[in-house]
Amino acid sequence: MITSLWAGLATGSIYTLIAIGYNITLTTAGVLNFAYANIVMIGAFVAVSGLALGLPIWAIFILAALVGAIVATAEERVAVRFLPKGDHAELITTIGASTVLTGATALIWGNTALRVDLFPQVPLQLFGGSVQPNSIILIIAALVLGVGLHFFNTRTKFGLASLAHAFDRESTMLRGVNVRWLSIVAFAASGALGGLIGPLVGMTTTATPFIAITLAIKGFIALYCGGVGSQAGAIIGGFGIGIIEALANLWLGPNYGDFAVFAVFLAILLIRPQGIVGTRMLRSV
Amino acid sequence: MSTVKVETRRGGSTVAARRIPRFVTALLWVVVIAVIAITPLLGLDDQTQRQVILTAIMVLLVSGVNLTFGWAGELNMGIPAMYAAGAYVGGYLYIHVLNDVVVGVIAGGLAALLIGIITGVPGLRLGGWVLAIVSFFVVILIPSILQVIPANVVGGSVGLIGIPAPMLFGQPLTSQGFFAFVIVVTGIWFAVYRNIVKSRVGDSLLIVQEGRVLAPSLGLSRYRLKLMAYAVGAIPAGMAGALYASLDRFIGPESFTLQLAINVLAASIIAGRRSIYPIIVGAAFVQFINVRSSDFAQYGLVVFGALLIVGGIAFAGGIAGLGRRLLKLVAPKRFRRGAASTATQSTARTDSDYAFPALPGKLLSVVDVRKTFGGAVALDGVSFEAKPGQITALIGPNGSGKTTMLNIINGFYPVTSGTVSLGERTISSMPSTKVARQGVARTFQTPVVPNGLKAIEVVASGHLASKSVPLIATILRLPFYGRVRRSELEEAHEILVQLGLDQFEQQPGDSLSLGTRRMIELARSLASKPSVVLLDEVASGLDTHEVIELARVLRLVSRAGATVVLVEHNFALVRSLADMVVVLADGAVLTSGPPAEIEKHPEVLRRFLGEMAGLSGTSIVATPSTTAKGK
Repeated sequence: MITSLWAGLATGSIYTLIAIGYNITLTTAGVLNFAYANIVMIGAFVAVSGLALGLPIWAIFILAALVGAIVATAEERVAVRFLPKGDHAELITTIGASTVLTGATALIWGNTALRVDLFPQVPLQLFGGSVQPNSIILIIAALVLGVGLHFFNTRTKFGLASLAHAFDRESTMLRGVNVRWLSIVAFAASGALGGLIGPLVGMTTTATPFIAITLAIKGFIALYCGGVGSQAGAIIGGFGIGIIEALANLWLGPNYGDFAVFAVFLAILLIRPQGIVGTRMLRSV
Repeated sequence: MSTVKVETRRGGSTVAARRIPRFVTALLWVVVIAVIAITPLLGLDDQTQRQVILTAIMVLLVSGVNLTFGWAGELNMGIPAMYAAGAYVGGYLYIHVLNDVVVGVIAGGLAALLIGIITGVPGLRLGGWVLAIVSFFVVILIPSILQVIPANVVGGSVGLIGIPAPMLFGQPLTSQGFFAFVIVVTGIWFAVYRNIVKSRVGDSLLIVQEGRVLAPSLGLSRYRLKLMAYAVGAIPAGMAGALYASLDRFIGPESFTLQLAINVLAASIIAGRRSIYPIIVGAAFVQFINVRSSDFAQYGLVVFGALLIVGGIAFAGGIAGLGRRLLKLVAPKRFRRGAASTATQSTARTDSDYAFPALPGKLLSVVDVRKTFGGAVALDGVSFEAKPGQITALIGPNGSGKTTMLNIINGFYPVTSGTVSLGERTISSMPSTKVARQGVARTFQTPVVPNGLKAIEVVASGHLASKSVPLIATILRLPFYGRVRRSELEEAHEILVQLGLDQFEQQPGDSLSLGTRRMIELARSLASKPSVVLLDEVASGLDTHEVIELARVLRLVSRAGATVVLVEHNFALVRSLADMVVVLADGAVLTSGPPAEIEKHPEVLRRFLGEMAGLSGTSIVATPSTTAKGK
């Protein structure tokens, strides 16, 4: 039971981290970057290659963040910058970008799942359940990032300016905020973050190109259940979904985790469409 | 004399000219399908036959995606799940119940329809990403679902084996026979798809895509229309699944992956998301690439992903549309649509004896309406009446609550307190679609004219909600459908003639000039035979000539019995037109009365008429009823 809870928190931390990445671009550029999970996976693959080359761990993280930032910026330039207004075009282009990245990672690193061994994993006994040290790091990272960005968005001028942009691009532009620049910075920052956490996520999931889309979808559900645009919501949604999935797998059987997540998602859609902590919805979602 | 001209035009263009082409297209389609269906007898080899069947299956899948993506403006990523539902239901039937491909195809379609409804009902409440993810997630669930259902039913992760060779009405089908069956099924569905999108339903869906306000103001429910398109779009996927079960006589979970969703979407993008016949090209292309890259699926991913990016950016008409645009650059003359739009304005038809058919005007009374947005008070106890057969003008400075008032009347905003009633009925608690169905029509400050419709269809769309035609009558093009369609197009034509706009009727509505679009909107609001017409700054952006024309039409409309409510800045127009003027200031009624009284009201004069009266914005110079200009 406790071990299951730990497992739930561990996968939940990954969903939270994905949801946080979505929120960064959503609340600044107004675009949900469906390819974000692919960037995380690229970070994991960079770690695999870095380890093979014998790079030190700090260098691996820096390299992963750098690659993530470059890929995300390139994506912004190609798939987001020229988006026509309305029509849900971003769905198509970012799903397209995600598909390209999945294919490209499979071409570069192959189809098989690769282990990411940054440091030796010895399960710890905590509160009567066993948990991998890496999972603890991920849980802490998700909490720290989520809480930190939540306060950044709600307490700082830059955070508020970017929120304003997401809600009303035109008037923000008139107020002298450079929205083009904001969009690029948001993608680069979220890409760097995605690359940075990639090696850690890869230690849990292994590095494999085809898991990205599952993470992308679960991350969206976490984002949505918590409340679109809210980093605090991302924490609640991500960990909530992770725990529900783990417990359903434990109590109902190994195939029921996804059903439980789907049921919760549909229930929230029907009962509380703005999400658990959400107050209003971004127009684009 | 002009009446005679109208008669011949109507006979020539809208009615008679249509009948023959429709009959010819149908016949042509039957011939094409028949010829393709017998190609195996003409020596098409087995390998190619299989590719053609797979392409036909892809065509079915793409048409389903197009219905949702192109016509409802929502992304359906759940096509593989719908396809799987059809395949497993079909396969199970063939093994355990009845081996008949017709039954299998129908059952497969219905199974997919069920998936469409289950995912569409919650997913479409918000649409956009939410629907995409809900439908995507069902695809992820496929392996788990197969694990959960006992293995002796659907074969678990191994797959369903032992599907018998296809039979039709108790007779075994040869491979040529099965080929022909697939082609005929695809051909029939394709005709159904075409008849759905090229119809009033298709028009309604285009209106739904034109933002949140237009469809409800015409009495159309966005949610219901989108759900309909999405759910109907699931049917061909299920049919395709049942066909696939008979083709390979084995179904495994690995056939229903997210990759398939991407492939189908790419084909839809290539064809153009609102395309009809290009779907075949898109499907064939994707099928071709798949055969080439079956060993290197990753190349396929990169190619299709890149296609999605390009297609998403080029959006308007998919890659086929890009080609068309290029073609236009090369051969500009042939493709330029009637340059007449810049030509001279038509002469107004001033048949003084013309009258609109009687409009069932009703008394509109607004009683003590308050509206607050958060803390801001937009309307603070507004009361007025607008009588049938009269033109009531709402005037007042910017921010005085005029448009808010209109939005409350037609149900876009709920009132904070107070009531709005139409005749005997209270309409202030109704959703806007229902208010529209009570006979309240309106125009918008910025004209909302949907993309993809001709002007005459835009006008006729005012009529869509008032006469509903069952989907089946639309698909089969039963005489009932034809009658409704013909009569609404004739009425639309009649209104356009009266407004002097019939020269534009075959042009795309959204390509017309601002003034013309305003008049088209007015025409659309009249097409529904409304009780109340709400006009939001209908004269702004019109030239003098157009304003005179507008005034004439509005007089006819009120004479026909409708209750006309006009929000207007142009006081000269109000003075010449309105029977009653309500002056709003800071969310309250400052005064009301006939225009002659209002223009002498000291407060009104001081606050907004002043010396600028008649000079700001568009102005009306001289119409018969205009008295000498105020000093």
